[in-house]
Amino acid sequence: MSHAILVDLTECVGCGACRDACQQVHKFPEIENTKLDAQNFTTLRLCEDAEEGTETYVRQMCQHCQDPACASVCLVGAIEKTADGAVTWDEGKCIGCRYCMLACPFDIPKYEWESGNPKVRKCTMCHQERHLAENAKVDNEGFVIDRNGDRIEIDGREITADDRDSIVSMTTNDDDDRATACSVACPTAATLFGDRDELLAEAHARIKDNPDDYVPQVYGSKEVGGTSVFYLSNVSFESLGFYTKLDHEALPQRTWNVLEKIPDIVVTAGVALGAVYWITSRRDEVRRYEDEVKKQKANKHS
Amino acid sequence: MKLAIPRITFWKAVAGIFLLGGLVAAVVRFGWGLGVATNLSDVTPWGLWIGFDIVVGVGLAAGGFTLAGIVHIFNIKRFKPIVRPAILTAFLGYSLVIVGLLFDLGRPWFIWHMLIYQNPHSVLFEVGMCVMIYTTVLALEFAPVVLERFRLQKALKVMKAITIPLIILGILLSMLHQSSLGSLYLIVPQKMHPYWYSPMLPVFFFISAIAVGLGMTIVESYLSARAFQKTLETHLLRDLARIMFGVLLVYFTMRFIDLLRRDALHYLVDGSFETMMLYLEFGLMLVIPLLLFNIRGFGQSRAGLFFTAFSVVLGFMTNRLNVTLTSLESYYREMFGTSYFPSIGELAVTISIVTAGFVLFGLAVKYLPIFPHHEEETVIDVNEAPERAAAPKIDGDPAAQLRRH
Amino acid sequence: MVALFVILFVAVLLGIDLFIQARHRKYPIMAAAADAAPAAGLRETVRIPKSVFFHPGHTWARLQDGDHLEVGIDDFVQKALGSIDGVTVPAVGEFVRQGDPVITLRHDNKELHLVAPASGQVQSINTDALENPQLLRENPYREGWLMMIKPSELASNLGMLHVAESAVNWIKEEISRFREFLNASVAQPAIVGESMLDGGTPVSGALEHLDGEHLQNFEEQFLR
Ligand code: SF4
Ligand code: SF4
Repeated sequence: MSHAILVDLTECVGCGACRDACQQVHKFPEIENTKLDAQNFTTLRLCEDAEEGTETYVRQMCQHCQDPACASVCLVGAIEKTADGAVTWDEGKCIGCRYCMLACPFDIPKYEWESGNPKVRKCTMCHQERHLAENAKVDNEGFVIDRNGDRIEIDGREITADDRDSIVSMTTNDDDDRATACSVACPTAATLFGDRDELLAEAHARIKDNPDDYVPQVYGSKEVGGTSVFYLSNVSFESLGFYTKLDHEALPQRTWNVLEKIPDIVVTAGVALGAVYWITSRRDEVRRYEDEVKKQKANKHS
Repeated sequence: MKLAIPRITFWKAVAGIFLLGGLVAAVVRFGWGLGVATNLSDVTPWGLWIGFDIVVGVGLAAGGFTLAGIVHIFNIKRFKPIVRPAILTAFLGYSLVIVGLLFDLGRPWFIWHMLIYQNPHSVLFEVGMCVMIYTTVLALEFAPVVLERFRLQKALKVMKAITIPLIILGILLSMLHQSSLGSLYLIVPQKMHPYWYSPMLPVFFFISAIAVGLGMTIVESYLSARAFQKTLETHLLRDLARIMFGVLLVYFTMRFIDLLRRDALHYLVDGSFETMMLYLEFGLMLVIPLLLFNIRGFGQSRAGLFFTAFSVVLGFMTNRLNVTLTSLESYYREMFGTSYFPSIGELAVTISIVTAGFVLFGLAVKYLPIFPHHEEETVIDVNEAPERAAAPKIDGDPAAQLRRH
Repeated sequence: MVALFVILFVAVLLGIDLFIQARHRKYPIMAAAADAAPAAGLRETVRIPKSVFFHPGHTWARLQDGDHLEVGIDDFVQKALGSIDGVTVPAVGEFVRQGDPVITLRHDNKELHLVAPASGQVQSINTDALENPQLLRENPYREGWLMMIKPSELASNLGMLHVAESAVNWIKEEISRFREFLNASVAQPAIVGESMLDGGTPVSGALEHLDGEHLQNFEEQFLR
């Protein structure tokens, strides 16, 4: 099942619980941030429009695109769009080229610039955290192990039974379903986590039922071919600083258009070069031969 | 040569300083990490090292495949003397590109991951593989020079047998990655200035690489003539320049049509920084070289050819840096209110890599049979030939007096 | 901004280099112009590679791969002739004898005949140079080679030939002799012209002005 997050900005009261929960579940320092970085996967920012008299709190995080540019450009395939819906990064593969950072249309991935062994960091949709509850076993040193008996690591940290319990409790919602820490923490249901199709339908339904409360757009449903994070708002997304100039076509298609031609190009060009070589060297031979014949004739005459 | 000594010493000192600076920067980079050594940031993840060391560097090394193709595939044998220096530059160029890449990668020790975790959808993967294989191919193409030097005849024979397949492979690989350096940027249409974002980027990159490969060959040959008195015949370089202009004209016609089709021409009068940079690119790469080349008496001379080709090289650098950096500037300004300028450390590393290229090229020319006439020869000044006793009086048949012995 | 900086930086380095070069030439403004002159244009020179054997008739031979002789004309005669419109050499398979006039250089409708520096069978000929005699001007000892022969009496042939210091001395002597030859031919005003203004007689292209009879003399005195 593919999951998604729906953020209804009209419901958001700006309490910052989502941000705090995110920082807690990832063991980041708890600060009031405005900028994404390697230790802030989501931000909360107040957008005031003096003319309209509106105050809107805007959450920003990875959109978990359906066809993510970041995953398509990664040369070692360290980034992956999982069936679960989350776009995840694999520390074991990344070589640190930072192409993902350049390619992301939302400028999401961040880098541990100060580290000697830097990681690419961004919202994980609590992917590992949400699946932690499935692993009940603990080895004799007290660390949680998976079905194969390997210790589970999150961000390079091995997880103790206590860690697991606190993470599981942070990622379990009132219905006893696994959900992202931010959606669990949100007191007003401004951030919802669930099945992508259902949430998308819900978003459209809200617009349809209350056309006066929303601008008629589900941000994230069409951008770069669709994402797994949707926003609803009552003021235009452009005025809130969203990336509104994005194509509705998935970006990886643009490079794939070129890449898929490579086999043809190689074969055609290879054959062409071989042919040119054959012709030119043959021409040379023929000319040399003719020269000699001519010369021999001339010598006979004289 | 007497005059040349002080000049070379000056540049040697400069090269020493540059290399030392690079060394210090390298220590900072690997000791304290990218954050301390560079001005790169979450907002501007790619900077000078990608833009210059890699994208410009690979382009400038394009002479290797261009000339190998001209001589061995199109069988235009008179350019043969130029192939070796061109392949040498290419090999050094690519090796240094890889060094530059190791600086830029956050975890260079994992570079081999590319071989095992392949992602065929990534342009960068394709570039990486091609660069790696092509560097090997170049090493093989260059091997005969080393084998010759050490007189390893058997190995030489083997190499001769595989020359043509190797060269075709080299050209194919170059076609792929030279163009793919352009494809790298196809994924960020919304971030780039319309001057430089084009679905045609890969084609443009490939064609301009051919032109600058020829230009670089002319430049190198002039510089080595100066430093080592080892050189190529001017008329060959002139022909190369003609081919280069042919390629450039095709390139700029296509660029222009592309701008027209994408409706980007109206920006040309907006007086913005980007527009200025575009003019600089066109001027350095096309207009100035054309003018220089057509100055009577100068354009066709060795120095004239050098300045012509050098201008093309500068224009090419402008183009690549425009694509990689300039075209993103307005996006960064608008979105984040920041801009990128390389740190001293980044500059020092780049400069020292280029310097290393010069130094290695010099050493190779000195110790390996790179240029064709490295045979020692005596040059006699006609006016220094001993004047014989006063010319005999001319009476009668002049020639009769000069019977030999 | 970065692009601009890089270009300026490179341009400044180039500027410094030009400045230094110019200072060493002591003619700052002429620096570029001096460079523009062909390498040996102002100074007339004749090149003598160390590993080449010279026949007194101004052809050369070089041992290749141990058992072949590469053959061509020398820098002196090439310079003296000025430009070459055509070259003829024996066909592959023919036998040439040391001292036989087998190479023909054409200029306008004049012809010069040069001798084979050694005896042997012609194995291959340089079609590039025959098609494009300009190559003889570029470098008569490399691209401008004319034919490859399989020597038949190498040891005795070599006795005739000059090499290394002997070749250098011989060429110097030849240049002096040539100068005298030209002075002697001065009866013909066309040759003197501007060439005598600076006192010396230039070698380059001097033969272009010689007519049939004098050319004949040149051939007899220098190319045999
Ligand atoms: S928003 Fe950026 S980082 Fe997140 S999935 Fe999409 S492309 Fe990747
Ligand atoms: S920085 Fe890492 S995750 Fe990002 S594209 Fe490069 S290798 Fe992939």
